[in-house]
Amino acid sequence: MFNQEINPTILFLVTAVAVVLIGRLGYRMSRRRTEAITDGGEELRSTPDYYGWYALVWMFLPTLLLLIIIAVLAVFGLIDIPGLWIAAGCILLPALILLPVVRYLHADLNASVLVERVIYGILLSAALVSIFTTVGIMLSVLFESIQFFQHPSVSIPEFLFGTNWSPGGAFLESAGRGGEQGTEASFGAIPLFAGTLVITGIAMLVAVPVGVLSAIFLSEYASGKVRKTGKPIIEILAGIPTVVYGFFAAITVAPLIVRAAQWVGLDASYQNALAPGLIMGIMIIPFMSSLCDDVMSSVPRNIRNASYAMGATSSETIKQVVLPAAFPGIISAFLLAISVAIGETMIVVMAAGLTANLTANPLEEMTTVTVHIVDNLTGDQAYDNPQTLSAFGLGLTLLFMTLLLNIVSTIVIRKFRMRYEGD
Amino acid sequence: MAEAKKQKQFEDSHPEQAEEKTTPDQADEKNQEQTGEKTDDNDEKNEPRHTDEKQQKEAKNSVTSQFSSQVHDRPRPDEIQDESPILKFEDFSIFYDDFEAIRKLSANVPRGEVTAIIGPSGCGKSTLLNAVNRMTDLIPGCHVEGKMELNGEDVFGSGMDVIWLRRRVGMVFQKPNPFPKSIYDNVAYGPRLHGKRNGDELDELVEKSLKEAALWNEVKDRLKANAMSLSGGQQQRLCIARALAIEPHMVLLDEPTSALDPKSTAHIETLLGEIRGHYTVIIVTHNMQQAARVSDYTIFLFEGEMIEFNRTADLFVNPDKKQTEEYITGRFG
Amino acid sequence: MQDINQYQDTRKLDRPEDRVTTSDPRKQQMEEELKLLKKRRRSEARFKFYTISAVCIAAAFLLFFLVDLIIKGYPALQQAEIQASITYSPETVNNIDLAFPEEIRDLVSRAAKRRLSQEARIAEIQIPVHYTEETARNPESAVQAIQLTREDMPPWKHNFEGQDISREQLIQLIGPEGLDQIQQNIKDTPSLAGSVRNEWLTGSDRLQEFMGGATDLDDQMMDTATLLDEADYLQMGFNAEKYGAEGKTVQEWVLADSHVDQYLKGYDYMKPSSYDNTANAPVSPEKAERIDRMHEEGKIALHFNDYFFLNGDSKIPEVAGMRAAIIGSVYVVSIVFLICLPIGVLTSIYLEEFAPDNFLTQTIEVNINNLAAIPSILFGVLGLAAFIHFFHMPRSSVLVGAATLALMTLPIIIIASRAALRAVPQSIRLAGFAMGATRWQVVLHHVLPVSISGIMTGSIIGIAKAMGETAPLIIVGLVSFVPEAPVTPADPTSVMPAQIFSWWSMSLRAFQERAALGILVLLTVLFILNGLAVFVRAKSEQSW
Repeated sequence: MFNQEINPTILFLVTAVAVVLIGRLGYRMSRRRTEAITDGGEELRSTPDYYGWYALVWMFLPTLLLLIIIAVLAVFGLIDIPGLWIAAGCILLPALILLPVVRYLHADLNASVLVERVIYGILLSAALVSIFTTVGIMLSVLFESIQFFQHPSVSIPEFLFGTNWSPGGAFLESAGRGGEQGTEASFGAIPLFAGTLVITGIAMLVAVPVGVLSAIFLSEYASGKVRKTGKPIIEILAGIPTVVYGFFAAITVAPLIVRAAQWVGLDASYQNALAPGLIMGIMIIPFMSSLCDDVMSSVPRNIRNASYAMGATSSETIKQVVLPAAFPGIISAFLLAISVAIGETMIVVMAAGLTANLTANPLEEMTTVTVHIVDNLTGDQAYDNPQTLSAFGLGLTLLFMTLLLNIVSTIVIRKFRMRYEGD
Repeated sequence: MAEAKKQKQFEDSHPEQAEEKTTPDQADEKNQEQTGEKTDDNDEKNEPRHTDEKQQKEAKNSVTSQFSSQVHDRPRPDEIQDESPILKFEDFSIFYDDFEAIRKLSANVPRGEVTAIIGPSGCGKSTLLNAVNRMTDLIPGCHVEGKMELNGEDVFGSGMDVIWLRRRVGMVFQKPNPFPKSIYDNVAYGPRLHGKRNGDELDELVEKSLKEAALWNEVKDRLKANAMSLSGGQQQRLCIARALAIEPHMVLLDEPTSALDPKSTAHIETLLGEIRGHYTVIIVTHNMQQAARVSDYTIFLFEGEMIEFNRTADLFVNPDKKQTEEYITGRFG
Repeated sequence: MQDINQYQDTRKLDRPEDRVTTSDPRKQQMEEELKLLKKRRRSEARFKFYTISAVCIAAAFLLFFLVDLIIKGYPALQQAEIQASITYSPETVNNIDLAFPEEIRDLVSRAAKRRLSQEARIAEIQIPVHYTEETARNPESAVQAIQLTREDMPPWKHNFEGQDISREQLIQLIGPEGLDQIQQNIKDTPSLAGSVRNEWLTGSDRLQEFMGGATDLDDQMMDTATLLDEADYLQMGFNAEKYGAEGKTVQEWVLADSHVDQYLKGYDYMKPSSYDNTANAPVSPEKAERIDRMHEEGKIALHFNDYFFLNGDSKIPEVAGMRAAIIGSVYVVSIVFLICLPIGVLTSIYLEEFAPDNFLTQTIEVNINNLAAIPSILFGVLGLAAFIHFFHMPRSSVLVGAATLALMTLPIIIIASRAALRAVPQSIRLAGFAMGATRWQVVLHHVLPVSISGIMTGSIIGIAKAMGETAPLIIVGLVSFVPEAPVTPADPTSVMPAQIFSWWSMSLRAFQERAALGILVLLTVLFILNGLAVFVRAKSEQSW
């Protein structure tokens, strides 16, 4: 987009400085103009600074719109305008508009209306970024998935229900060597789903009891001081990057499990599902704990007091009153925790295996959906190779599952909150 | 209008009660089946010394005009000594951190009577009530000095098991706070905690408690319905039924009608009239008329200090202290 | 736990019951209840114990985890170095091994050897020099003495294969020392005057760089140097300037090979004794003995590993460092912050202060909540498909990493900012409106100033999360081997977690402790960031 002759960084900086200077000039001039108006005895309809901003809006909004149009066209390769021209436009256009606008300012003009409307527009467009992101994720995953599912060696039923995942043949096929002995690619994702399920299950076995019980301790038993030290300890677990958990699972936990298994006479793989599962469980503890803490503390105090006044012990109050009342909230936390677990990547990439292995034995090597997304997108294959594209198919499944869990949990928690609204 | 209606309802209910209580034998029988323990208390303790006093009292109860009749044969609070008070305060103080919410309170709360605690808001009346079953333990920074004895037992003493204490002292709160469970489960909660798991026995107890709380007729067809679906007044009566279901020695009511509409309030006052005599009741209220209507004794608290403690009729008709008079005549509070 | 006497006390004090005979059902019931109470107390204690142990499990894990990482990472803070007497001589120019005493030749790091070899050598350029008397008198004229054609060469080489090389271009490749040499020669031997001789002259720094393999010289100089190199007019000579013509022996601590380092740190896998067949051991028994002896003599020692903080990544474990990754992380995260803070704050202002309650607003809200729950790896997939394949941003670059992370961080910052804005009591806004301020003025003058610390706290936490994120960056290629810190946003970069990941995936065990130390560095940075967030929050804690 930028002309070769001029260093784009310098051009950009020069333009930016010039634009700021022109902006300042415009603002000053319009302020001076409003001062002249008020000196003339007329009363302004908005505060003076709004007139400054009014001028700026007129100066820069058209330029900005033009720039956006040019940028969009340039991205699609429809036009190619040298950077110098664009820079010149950015400076000249506002400068041309400056004088007429300043002259137009008058006392009856309610400058704040336009300015507020532009501010509203800016705020709204910022808010729309999140929509674009979601749409972007959906589209990017969806388009490439469609391409994947349209590939001759792939079929949706096989993908969803097939038990053999060996995409290795795909690149041979695309290299014109398909059909050689045993190289036929096969995309049956059940082993990946099963691996994800087993590892998620192990994680939940760790995270749910520990998370819920620690939330109970922190919200019901701990005194202020203990709570103040206990809570950060659990929160630290949430701040640890997943790559660190992955390292720990692979380097420390997996060998420990292998040794422990040998000790009881079992055979364990170094890439067993137990290590990533356990560590993922630990990672989810703070998530589970803080969500449960939230829902339990939104159970009204007076219900608890009623139970205590009946002569219930703390544990009876918790088990028979607080937990049943908070149950929907805990279920919703559980669903969210599952969605975190199935989307977790680094721990499984580092500690789980790559071989798609349909088994229920957690000591064996297993693999997950996310592992294969990473593996297929970081390989050396071409972008349109079915093996690479399979990552998008898996991504779509992952996205679907996550959104589903998230929506269900939102509905559950909303019902829960409604019950205690106003309390 | 509402006030008058309330009063009427109260009076309506009264003859019934009076009828029951005119004959001591009959009353005893009734008491035996409803709250056996309570009656035993009175019998065991009172018989040796004032054998006829109780009968006299019961007889006086029958007179509808409460004050004039009861006043003179009830002992003044300062005469209640030795074993008969159920609750005994000696220089009892409650602190929130450094703030002294209750200052050196000494009093004997009579057994089997309704005692009201009144006073302007912030005077510590709820705090005092909460201390009786040690709900104050749940408030961080709250501690006590001095002594409070329930049946001669130090409530804050190291030997007191707080669960066991609360099992014997029922409590009803300001805002109705039923558990988000079925009506049946709400009432059965306490008995179940304390080991009553037998279905038939439990059913009976639930029915009895709901009847005592005058809720049975309204809910008998939908015991499995969620308690949250009841109206505010019903919820509060459910809470009373729940408190009665553990067969406490004593019931604490913390402004039980302040969150309710006048009609429900009247309903609950009627109910209080009905359980009076079966339980020792302490009720905190900001409503002086209510105190006058439902209580036998009244404690007037002001800024953490007990200004006056007397028979309700005496306190309202001719208070000893000027502050009391100012308060009940509405000069402050 | 209550002891039995206490229950008896309770019962005794409970006077009414005392007087009831034991046959009374009420009394029996009370006794049963007391028995049950004991059981309930026990179950209470048990339950409380479970909850405490849950917290303890978490705490114990954290402790085990940190201790394990420190044990694994701490050794990397030290690096084995060997005290070597290095004899630089003209022979060592082509074989630096000769410079070391025989007993340490196989112990010194390849990287150290390469560096020393660079230092011992100097780039030389062969140029025909036409000496004149003028040359001896006037230092300026040394430049004039340089000839552009060579008589002694075959015709096709006379003028560098017909290519025109200007004097200026040549001079750029000759260092000032080279020009001094010309003058010195004619001063030493005045008889040279009038003759033309091919002389090996000391090259400039840039020529040295070129010979060292650098490729970032300017194009013209690059062409010239390549041409001269092909014609064998360039060579690496002994750095006589520094070490004298005969050579010199220097005592210096040089970096030891990673085998020595790992052996010295006592890792089992390095000890010959842990192998059945010592031939398989990375360190042979003889070598092990030698290292042990030299260690005792103090000739091999563990010193503070400053390479780790001063170097970028390397394929040689003993010199691999984190500097490039740290700078890359800071660079990427700063851009994330610059993108996310304005958009995040504007979005939350929109949603909290401006948005009408309509379908669009609800869609945005649901969207943000869903975005926060989408697995981070899918943001990587988006980055790959959108930024790299659609917008053609350079793969592995700072820009693409930052854009991907920004999308991921945005919902976190929005949610935190909204909470901060919501905490501002309505009365403040009403007061502003009552003074006749517009909505934006109320936000700008009243709401933002009081909520800014909350927004900053949330943003710092979001940034800390971005700093520790790896999965989406793997997808957009930030895990490739990048030894240099990035300068422009289009440069390829590595970031700390990605660096840890790539060290972890190295087959050499020596990289493991670097990964662990890298983790400690990363955790320290995150700890500081979170501490900062706590500090900001504590400093501005406001009670309404």
